[in-house]
Amino acid sequence: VSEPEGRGEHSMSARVRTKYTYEPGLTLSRFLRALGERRVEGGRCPGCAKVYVPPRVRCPACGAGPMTPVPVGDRGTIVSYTVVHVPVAGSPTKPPFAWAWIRLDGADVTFPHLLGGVPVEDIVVGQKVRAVWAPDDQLAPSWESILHFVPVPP
Amino acid sequence: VAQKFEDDVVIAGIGQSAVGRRLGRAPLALTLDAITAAVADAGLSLDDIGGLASYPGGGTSVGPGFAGPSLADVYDALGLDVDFMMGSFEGPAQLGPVISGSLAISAGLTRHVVVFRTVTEGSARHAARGRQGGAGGESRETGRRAGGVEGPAVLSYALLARRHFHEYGTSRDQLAQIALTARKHAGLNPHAVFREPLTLDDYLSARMIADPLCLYDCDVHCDGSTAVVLSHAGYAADAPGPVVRLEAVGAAPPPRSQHPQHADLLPGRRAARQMWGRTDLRPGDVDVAGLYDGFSILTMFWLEALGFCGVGESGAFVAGGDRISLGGQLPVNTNGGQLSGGRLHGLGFLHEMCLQLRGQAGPRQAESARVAVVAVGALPYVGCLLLRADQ
Repeated sequence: VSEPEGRGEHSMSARVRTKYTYEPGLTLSRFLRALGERRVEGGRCPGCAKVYVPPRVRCPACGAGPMTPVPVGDRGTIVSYTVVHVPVAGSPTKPPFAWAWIRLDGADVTFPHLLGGVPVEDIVVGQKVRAVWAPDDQLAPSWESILHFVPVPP
Repeated sequence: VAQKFEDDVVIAGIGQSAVGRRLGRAPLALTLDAITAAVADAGLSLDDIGGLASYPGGGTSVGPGFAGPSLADVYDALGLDVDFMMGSFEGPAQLGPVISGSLAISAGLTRHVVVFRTVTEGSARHAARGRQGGAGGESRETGRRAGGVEGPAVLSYALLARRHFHEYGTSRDQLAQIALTARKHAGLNPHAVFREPLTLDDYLSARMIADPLCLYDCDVHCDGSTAVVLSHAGYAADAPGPVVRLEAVGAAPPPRSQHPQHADLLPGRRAARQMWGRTDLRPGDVDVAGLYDGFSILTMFWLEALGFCGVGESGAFVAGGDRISLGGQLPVNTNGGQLSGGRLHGLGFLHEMCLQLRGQAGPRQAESARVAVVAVGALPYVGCLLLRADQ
């Protein structure tokens, strides 16, 4: 606790740890379990037929739902990317690292993930990429079952 | 629009606390300084104040020092008896309380509403350094692990900036002009956090944060509080100084809320369309602008959304910097913005535009400033205001 001189005002810094349980719900749970089996499962909107990865309970664009599970491949396209030079809180990835919006083939929306296996100066928007999956003993119902995406020849 | 609530409201007073990188003062104390100054500026006493509004309101936890005091703490501390109050994170960003407060006045709930925005991110983030660190400050681990689609803010805006570069050929030399112009203007503002000159070479050789965004593309955390007094237009004749007229508001949110699932380079376009639909004034009538620059690329998005240039043309619009500098066609962020002036978070732009329209901006006064626009926020919370000088 510190008291800035002459002000009579106090401030305090404290470390707080919180244990929590995250319950992703049925739609996202199904998606995450599929990732743990090296599968990407999107959701097709029954109204506008757009395919979301990850799937949503209802379509954010037209409101229809529930979405129909639909298998999506693990290849796609870089929609945008950035090379991150600062540590990101909560992420074990050491900078610099490349982070991209990826639209999987057959999906209509993007999600962010890591890029690897390419010098950062060679990354371009529009590049084709594929997922590199974690080894068997590291697979889990988590995004981290995909280690990163790497470029594939056109 | 034949009759609009905006005509019932004026900004009768403005006030600001000390502003600095790290003041080491309590959020409530800064807030009381700003409010006291604004109420005095309006020629009112605290007994006249019937409404209190703020962003984000109490109980909001976005990051260290982000939320100011709760409204309840403020009206307790000032002994206010208010007939209206609101503090909300979800709405037209930091202009939400201005718009809601104006609606309350027009609806007859009260005659004078104090709006404030207080930040102590400078002090709080410094105190948290080494424990939290990293982009964004707060952990997003839960979202990332569990399939959420958000990263720390700078990552998302870097991806949007890259997309703009890719689609429209925008360059770093062009984007740099947002930061360089802000710094040039900050040199004329004694309250700005960073005032020493900044060159294009400095910019291009600066530490990259998330490319194409470098250090100078990210606003600077600070401590400070800004307040304005909204009054019924009937008070204008009694106000001691020039008031600022509310011409039109834009409160409509973006069409979709999430960056990666619907990459949207113009989150403010619906708010802008709404605002222009409520006035006969056009973008060409605007003399000076305060455009949100939490990240420099957002100012570019607002230039396009508000129609100051075509979609994708903001790079060419700002190229060289002259057009958006004092003396140019549309001086932008004349106080140094948040990039150099300090991240007063939204209301800092409103304070500055009021100074401009009152002809009180001193060495950074824009020539014959009669109409100003303030636009704040980014996905998914945006808002804008069109303001007029009195008479």
